[in-house]
Amino acid sequence: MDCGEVQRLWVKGLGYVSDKHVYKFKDFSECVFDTQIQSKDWLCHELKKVAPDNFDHVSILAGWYGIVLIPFLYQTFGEINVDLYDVDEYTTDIAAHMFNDYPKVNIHTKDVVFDDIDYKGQVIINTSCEHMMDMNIITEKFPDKLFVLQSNDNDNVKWLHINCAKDTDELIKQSGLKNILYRGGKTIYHHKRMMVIGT
Amino acid sequence: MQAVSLKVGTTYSARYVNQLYKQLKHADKRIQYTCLTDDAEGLKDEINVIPITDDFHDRKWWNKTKLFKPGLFKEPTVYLDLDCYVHQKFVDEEKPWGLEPFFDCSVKDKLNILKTYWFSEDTAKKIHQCDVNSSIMVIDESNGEPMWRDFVDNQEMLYKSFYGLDPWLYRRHSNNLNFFKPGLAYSYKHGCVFPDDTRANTFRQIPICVLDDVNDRGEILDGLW
Repeated sequence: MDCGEVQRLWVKGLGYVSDKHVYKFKDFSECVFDTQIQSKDWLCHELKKVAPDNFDHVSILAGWYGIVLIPFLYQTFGEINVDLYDVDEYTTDIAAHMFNDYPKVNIHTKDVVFDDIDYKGQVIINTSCEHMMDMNIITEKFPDKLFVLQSNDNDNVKWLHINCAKDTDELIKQSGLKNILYRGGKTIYHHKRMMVIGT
Repeated sequence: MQAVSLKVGTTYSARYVNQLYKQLKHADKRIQYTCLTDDAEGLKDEINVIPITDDFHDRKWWNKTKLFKPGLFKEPTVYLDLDCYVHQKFVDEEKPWGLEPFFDCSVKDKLNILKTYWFSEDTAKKIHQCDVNSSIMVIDESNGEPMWRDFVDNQEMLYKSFYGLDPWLYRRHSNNLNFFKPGLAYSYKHGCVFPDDTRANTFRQIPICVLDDVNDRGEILDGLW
């Protein structure tokens, strides 16, 4: 996957962080770590094989800045509609600035677990399942959508990784997905990362 | 005056409870002290014990939600984490001391709680994503009810969405909180009030020291005791 657009967005975002949200610098610097690149590349590679033919709209839950995933989705699927949700208002402010020249990308400040959200599109992605409640609370509300879920077994990240999965079986159990189109795992920087795709 | 703390598991021994009681008694001889615990062995006889079970083995601090049960306290009661230290009065006779100032600035119908005044707003909200610290609270007969109801109704969702109580209270109950005035308590690690007093790892002439997030707090407290 070409990272040129990721780099352009990062430079654009960095200027905004410097001007408006300097306290977010550490967080912003981590959003392009190699783990992010590898896991999103993997996601697009596998989603390409099973995505519905009419796929033109995706909802990204707890999407952080979306800085890697959105350009990779565009490279893989073209200029689809994107709704990105994150609970942190400062994160979404930075993301909204970065993507202000993406007319089909909309950024929302929402809590995907506790807010009542009517998700649009054929596909729902959550690459941060280890941060939150089991995804079955959302998959059961949207039985017609294709879910792409990633989690990991790194429970050493204090404060943040509070609902890790030890393997794909546990992630599937958390997800409540019945029809699994893809399941797999990778070791990335000493920790197991897993992904399931299904309905 | 009523005070309460909570001890579950083995992270904190009975000595922590007894020491806190001793400090509180120095601050106010009339203190009536209660401990919610799953193991009362070793606690001083004067301490009123309310037995509880440890229902949160991985993150025991979620047992603190039991404090919010309506009717548990008949009158306003100050809660302190076991790694707090109540200073004896130093030199200024005119300065309010002890626990009265916490009650004086408390209100009914809201949970009275500590704010992380030692951080700037930006640091609290942009880095820690929370400006609430539940090490010290004043709880009355019913001011914990919204939190209690939320926890009873959504326990699994909350436990799997928030690492601890502080981000939960910040994110979902900011309208149900009343912050104590600045300058009544301080963080040993971070300071008292930003930007005027942010010296790290320093004791102060302020009623209560909060030692959370301090790696060697056991040794530090042992030195004070």
